Amino acid sequence: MISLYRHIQTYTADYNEISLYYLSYLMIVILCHACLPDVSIQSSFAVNLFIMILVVSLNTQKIFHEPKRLGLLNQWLIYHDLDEVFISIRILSFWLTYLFPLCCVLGLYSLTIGFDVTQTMTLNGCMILFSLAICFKMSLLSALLTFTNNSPALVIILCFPFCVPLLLLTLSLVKLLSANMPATQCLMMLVALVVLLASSLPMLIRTILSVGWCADY
Amino acid sequence: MLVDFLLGNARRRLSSGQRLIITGPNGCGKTTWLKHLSCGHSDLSIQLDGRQIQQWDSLWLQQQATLWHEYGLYDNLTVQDNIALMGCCPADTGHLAQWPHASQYVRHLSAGQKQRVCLQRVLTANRPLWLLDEPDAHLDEQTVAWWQQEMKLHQSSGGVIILSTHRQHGANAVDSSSMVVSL
Repeated sequence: MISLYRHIQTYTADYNEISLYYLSYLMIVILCHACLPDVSIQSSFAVNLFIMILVVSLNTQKIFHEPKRLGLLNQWLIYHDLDEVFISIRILSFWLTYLFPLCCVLGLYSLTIGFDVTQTMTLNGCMILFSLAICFKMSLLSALLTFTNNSPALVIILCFPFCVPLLLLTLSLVKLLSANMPATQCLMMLVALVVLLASSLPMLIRTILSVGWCADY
Repeated sequence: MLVDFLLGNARRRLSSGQRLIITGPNGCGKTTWLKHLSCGHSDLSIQLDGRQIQQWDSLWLQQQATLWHEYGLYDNLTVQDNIALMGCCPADTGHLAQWPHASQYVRHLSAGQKQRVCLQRVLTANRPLWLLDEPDAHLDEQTVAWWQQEMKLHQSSGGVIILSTHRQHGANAVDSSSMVVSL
């Protein structure tokens, strides 16, 4: 838990940056909904999820790419062995800082557009799983970025093809819930995907980072 | 530990308790050589304990205590938080815990003070091999003297130090346990 807290500190250390992140997210959401007042619930959620992917893509380099630039990757190798637990904590802290608050906002939003409490709870669970899956995928890209000196634009370009199936799955879940139909199968698929990503990616990321640190030399 | 290496057109040997000091003008390749050594690069002709460096576990090499130009510190965290982020307990950080600047944000520290934090981190790593890229950069005379003492202590406990420096007096003030190579 302390380790998780320390990593959250590294993301939130710059108050201006983190405030700007939340503010920009809220402004984009408000702007989109002001421009599209009569859209269906599904389209509205699609817009929200799309924005979530976009704003997170722009910050994903903070997971591993920025620490490499600051010279921290080498220190993590020395002190933490960059093991799978450490990498998972790093990713989870990113999720807690950047994505969990957005899930809460979407939960509140679903209450305001007519979902009941049970539906909102299921929807929130679904958002949490979606954001976790996105977070793990992004962290893999962030690790790959250690090989190059580039901008977040590349992350967005690389990330979208991977995000589309996940986006479709989550939206079909929203559609089922809004029609008051059972969504257990979709939810289970999402759970399975998150478990698969959480168990396999940290190992892959560890290998990428230990090679990536020396990539410039 | 026995380090057998080719540097400056000559093959040299460094054993436990010894220090290699690499000097040379800017851009001559001191940092690159150290980084290649840390990464176990294939174009280096270095043997560690009789085995080619490429045969060693690259992770073991990367995990030796190193000091690079990048401080590896978060500017918006305090010195204590930066040290804690590395998982070091206060007892390991020695006199840094009592250091008057320990509770200050790193962004408020001078370059020399940041370098001192990094040097303290090298000490807490507790590794047999130290790879230090200009450890005395930005340091005042008092801190340089402290660091020389720490390096001697490490050597006396059988550690090996490979460092690069620009300070001529640092390279001149060597004893029998040190070797100076100019690139």
